[in-house]
Amino acid sequence: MKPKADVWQGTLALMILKTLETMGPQHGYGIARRIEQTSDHALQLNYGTVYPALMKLEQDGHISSSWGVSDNNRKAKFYTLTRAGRREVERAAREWDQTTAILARFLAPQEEK
Amino acid sequence: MRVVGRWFHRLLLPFRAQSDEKIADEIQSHVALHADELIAAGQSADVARRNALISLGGVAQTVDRCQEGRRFAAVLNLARSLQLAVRRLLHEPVFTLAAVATLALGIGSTSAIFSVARTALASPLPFPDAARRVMIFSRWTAFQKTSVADQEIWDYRAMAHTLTAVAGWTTAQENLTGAGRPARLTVGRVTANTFDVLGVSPWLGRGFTTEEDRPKGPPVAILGHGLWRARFGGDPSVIGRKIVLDDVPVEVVGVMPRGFRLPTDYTDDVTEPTELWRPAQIDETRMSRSHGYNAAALLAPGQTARTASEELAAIARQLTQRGEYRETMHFTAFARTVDEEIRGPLRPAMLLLTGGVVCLLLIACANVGNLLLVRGETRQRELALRSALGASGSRLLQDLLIEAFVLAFAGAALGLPLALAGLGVVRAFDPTALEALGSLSIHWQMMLVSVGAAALTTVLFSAAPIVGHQGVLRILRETGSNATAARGRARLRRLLVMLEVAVATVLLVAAGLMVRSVEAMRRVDLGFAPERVLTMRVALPATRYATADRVVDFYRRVTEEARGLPGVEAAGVVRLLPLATTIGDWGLDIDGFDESAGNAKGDWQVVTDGAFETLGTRLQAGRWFERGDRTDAEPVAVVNETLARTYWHKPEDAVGSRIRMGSDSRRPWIRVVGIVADERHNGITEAVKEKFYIPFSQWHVVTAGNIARNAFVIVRTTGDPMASAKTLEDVVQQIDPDLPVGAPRAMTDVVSTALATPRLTGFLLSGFAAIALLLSAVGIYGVLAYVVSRRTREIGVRMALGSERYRVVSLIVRQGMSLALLGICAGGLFALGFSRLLRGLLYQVEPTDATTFSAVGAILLLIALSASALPAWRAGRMSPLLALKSE
Repeated sequence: MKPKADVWQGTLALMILKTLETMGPQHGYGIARRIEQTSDHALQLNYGTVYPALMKLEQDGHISSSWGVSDNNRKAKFYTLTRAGRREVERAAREWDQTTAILARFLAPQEEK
Repeated sequence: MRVVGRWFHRLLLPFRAQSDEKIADEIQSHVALHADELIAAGQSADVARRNALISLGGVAQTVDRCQEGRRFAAVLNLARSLQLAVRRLLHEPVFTLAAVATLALGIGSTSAIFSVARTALASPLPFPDAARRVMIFSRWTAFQKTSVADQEIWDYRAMAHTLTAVAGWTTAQENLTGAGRPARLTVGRVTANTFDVLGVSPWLGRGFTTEEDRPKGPPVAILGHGLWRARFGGDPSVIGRKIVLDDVPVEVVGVMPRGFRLPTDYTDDVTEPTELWRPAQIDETRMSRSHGYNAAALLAPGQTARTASEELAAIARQLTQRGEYRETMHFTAFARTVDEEIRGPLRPAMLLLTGGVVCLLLIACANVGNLLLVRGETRQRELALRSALGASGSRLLQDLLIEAFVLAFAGAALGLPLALAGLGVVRAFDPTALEALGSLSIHWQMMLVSVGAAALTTVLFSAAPIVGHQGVLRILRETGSNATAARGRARLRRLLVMLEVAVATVLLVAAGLMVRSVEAMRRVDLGFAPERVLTMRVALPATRYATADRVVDFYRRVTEEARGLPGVEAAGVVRLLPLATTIGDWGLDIDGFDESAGNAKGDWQVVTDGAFETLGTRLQAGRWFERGDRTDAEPVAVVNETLARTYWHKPEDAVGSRIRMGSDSRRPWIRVVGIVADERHNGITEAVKEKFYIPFSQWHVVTAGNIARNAFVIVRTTGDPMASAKTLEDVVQQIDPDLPVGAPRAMTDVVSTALATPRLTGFLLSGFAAIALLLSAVGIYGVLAYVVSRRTREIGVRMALGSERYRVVSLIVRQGMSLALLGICAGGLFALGFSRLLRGLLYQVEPTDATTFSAVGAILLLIALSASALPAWRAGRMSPLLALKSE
């Protein structure tokens, strides 16, 4: 088993938003599971950290929530992406692309001039 | 209102306990969902649940983390909004300064006056159940309200059923020696039941027994708390110890609780309250019907001051029928609760000031509301822009409200020092009566009231533009179109300005009436010249000054020594100082006056030669007292104009005529040698009564044995009178080292104290009125300046079409003046109705004084005109081309 990576500061929010964008309304547990699956279990995700992040996103108006019933008939709180949230996903994804691209240039083998 | 509701919901969300449960619910549901999956994967229920909890990191911990994050975010959010609000306000310094200054003035003045009024009207008196404790007063032709006789105290005890106990006391000056420096104390001579009647028992030791309250009873005393602390170091073993009062050893039997005062210590004795009490020791076999006692009583259960007064009046009629008093005297008595007696005189002025300051707060709020409305109008574009850029309505509202709170609190922060300064002003006017009731400080509850009013105003008018923008507030909305909403707001602003002017009118009228009244009081001819006169009280102990000769000799020596002092023009001694003490009357026989119409009488003053010159009394006829008016010379008197006018057909005939003290043929006739101008003694506005003057050297002769041991030394100086205070004290100390002297006072100080309350109310109201004027001017200016800026285009068109400049100017000025006129009329009408309530506070000024009303109207119109001038001038100078290009 290869060592698991920690979740980087600030990336969890983007992961949550992106998850909701792809999957539509989802409860906290579902989001956490989906993040684990998407990362192919490479991430060391403490489920407990998802909830403060959800709360902050809701306060910023990026997601909204309502109580509903899960597939197996359990009461659960479902989160939905808002319009502002969609814009935020685009913005953050673009920013992230830029960052990784820049970083990649540093890490790639130096080309001869 | 949904926007507002949602906004509040969001603001409060992080602080609500109920939502904590919701978080816990959510976490529980997470654990359940996870466990379900693990069970499906084959784990047992227990193990599944434990594993779910482990991978979560604990329910409680997660809930905690959520809350922490949420609160942090909320605080951060608030802090950022605050920062932005402050920055926005600083970008508009003129608006911010105007709004904050207005609020500070409103909050500061209201907090100060509300606090003073609270101290005056609501601070507790040291008597429990004060409503059941009354004071008893007498009234007859010569006095509206005066003290009672010791015989009457016994009469009321025996005859009144509405009263369960009647107490009496007198106050006098006595000298305390042996315990440090000699001190002059005001001592209450009380009947044994006085403390019971007032409902206060000694804090240490005991009260007086009836055995001690008999003639020749043992010499005992009860100390006041302050005296006990200051003179005896708060030592409880003082009980049983002997102290020396007027050279007689007296045993201390008790100490009264802190803050205890006799009711008279709030009124007559307020400048020198009693500090020590001794039994009155009234001799029941030798009681008199001369009125020298203060009396208090305890009402029987179910009785009121009114029922007691009815019974007292009936008793007085019985006494008159029994022949104790002459019918022509119209003697009667009445009761008044101690609360009414103490606070009653303060109430009208306090209510007036409170009313005035409420008016001021109203004006300040209207003005700030106006400023906010104008600003909101100009911010419509900004708000619309931000809204288009995605800011939610609640976000905009939140920003506006935070700004409103910042303004209100800045106003409160600046208002507090203003309030403290206001208290300083009140203190400077020497409201001794106020300080007696409690310390003058800012009551935070009172401050909260005014800050609350200010915050409400700013919040309400800050919200108006955005709420109007969203088409919610009905008044502003009208048919819903933006233009009519703007028109509605414009109307609201004009209404506010009119209200401001109306309230300012009322304030100005009240202030004007008070100022004119104070002016009238100042113009009253006092009959003497208080400038450069120094006064100092002395009380000669009866032990060392047992005979009239010794007393007369002391006064003569003091007068002569004082005259020799550098910087002293004249010196003398008077028994009672005008405006500082109350003078009573003494029955007279007047040679050749027919007494069938009523007894002749006069207020009795005793003076040394030189006293008239010192006080600056004016001689109208005859001569002053001279050094030759010695004890063995012919008895002489000087009378005032009123006495001469009352008892002689031709007043000038009084000189050379004879009078005699009381109806006692053993007393000698006294030759009237001079007539002096009337002096105001018992009060500046009180009517002057008949008064006569006798030299100290002959007082015991003309009264057959009466000795006046309490007196005031007075000197007229060439410079500042207070500069001579020390040397005068030294003179007294040289003559009698054991004789303490009272606090020296300048006579001008005595006069201003007598005018303190009307001057204070007049001064404060004038201050309020001046602020109100300023604020109204700002209000009118604001509205017109806005009108001009909104109508720039219209003005441009008018001018392009050939309208004259003066027409444009007059258009604007007319708007301002019509607002002012409407406000003045409304306020004037209201003032006409309300000023009648001021009658009791006014002196020689009618509540509907035409001069005041027309002056107020003229001042306000003038202010309105000048406030309109600048915007009008700007409109007139507008270039038509630029005006048309605007927008």
